[in-house]
Amino acid sequence: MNARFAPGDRVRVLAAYPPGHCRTPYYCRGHAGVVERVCGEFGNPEQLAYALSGDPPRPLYRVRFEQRELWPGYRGRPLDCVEIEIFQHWLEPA
Amino acid sequence: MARAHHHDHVHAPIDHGATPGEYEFLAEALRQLLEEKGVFTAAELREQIDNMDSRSPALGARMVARAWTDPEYKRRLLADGSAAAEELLGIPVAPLRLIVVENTAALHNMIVCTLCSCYPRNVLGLPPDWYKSREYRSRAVSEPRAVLAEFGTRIPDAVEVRVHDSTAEMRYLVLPARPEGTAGWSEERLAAIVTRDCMVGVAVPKAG
Amino acid sequence: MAKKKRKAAKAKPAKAGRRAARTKASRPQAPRPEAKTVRGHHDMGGLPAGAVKKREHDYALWEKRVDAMMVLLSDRKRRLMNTDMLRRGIESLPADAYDRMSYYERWIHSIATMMLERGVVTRAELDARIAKLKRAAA
Repeated sequence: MNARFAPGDRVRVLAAYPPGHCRTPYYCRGHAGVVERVCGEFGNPEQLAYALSGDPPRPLYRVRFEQRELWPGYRGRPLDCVEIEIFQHWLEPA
Repeated sequence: MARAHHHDHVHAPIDHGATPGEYEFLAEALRQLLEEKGVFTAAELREQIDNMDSRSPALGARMVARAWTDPEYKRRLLADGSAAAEELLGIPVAPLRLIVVENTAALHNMIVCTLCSCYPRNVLGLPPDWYKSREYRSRAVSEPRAVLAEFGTRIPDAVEVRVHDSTAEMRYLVLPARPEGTAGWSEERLAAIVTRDCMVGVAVPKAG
Repeated sequence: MAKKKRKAAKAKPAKAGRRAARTKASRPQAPRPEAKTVRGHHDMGGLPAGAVKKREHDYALWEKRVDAMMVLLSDRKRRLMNTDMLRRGIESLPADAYDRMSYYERWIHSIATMMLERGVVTRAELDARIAKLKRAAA
């Protein structure tokens, strides 16, 4: 597997709002987090949704975001976090 | 075709008497057409319904109870949830790709799918309505502690709350912390206190 | 934004300056920032919402059948559906329909849409069968 990122890398989710299906939630776009693990390679859901092959499979990561970075005025322990699965093509180095 | 029907969202009036709703007709029409066209057989459909009916939180509870009593199994469960599930349960869980996340004295995990309703069905059964609701999907990621409190679960500030949003391919199961007062219990007795809500992460198991 | 078509104007020297000023003022302004970020109605993480209502219900047979159909249609033998197609069909629902429909109503809407899209069934076939079922139920 040719993964661009490794656990511990700081990454930012693209602030992109393309048409069509995708699995990157709105609330994390443009936000930065840390790669928690590489889940493996999977077909692109943005193509699979239209009965296309989704090839080539690409790395999927779990990225950890701090709640205080995601939500202004987050109430709760400052180090509370959210972990989200995000495809490589939605990530850039932070 | 009357049925008990509880929805947590605004619902167009449905006739709960003998007449099925519009979408029931659509479902039945499609089912019949697909069977007639040979896409699947009635037997295959029935078999899949029975398969899903056999899946329930009891499966996940067995995995948790085993992990609590067998440190090597716990290690395998945390390393590869799907393989460890199949190993213990003796039934296939594919296409489920399971990640098991462990609660500790310092960490409480909670599972949500904000985009739809992804859930580890093959080891927990079908998800409850509330898991699929707007209220849970919206707020579990942004105010998890408030949502936990609504379930009667209060996590101390000293404990981190980590929310897992199952956005893509993986599905998640919480391995709750084994509560005090359960020393010497059999696996069956331990499994009995592991509820579905504990494995979704909105509750913690109680010995009492 | 398309420019509004201006009718060919007769030369009116006395008003030329005013017309030019009107035209410049009616040109579109800079793009509104909010138009750039589209949020699907299903993409609700972090939005405000009320208390979680802890209701559950026993699944009706028709709902279990819809669930089973999805599993069969997306298995290796058939590969007619996949999870992302199901999701896409649901995400395409108008917001009010999304909110009004129950979970498996959204599923069957999506599955049926995909089967039509892929040519596995036709609208004529579905309509005819639904009509037949309704007559039988009446």
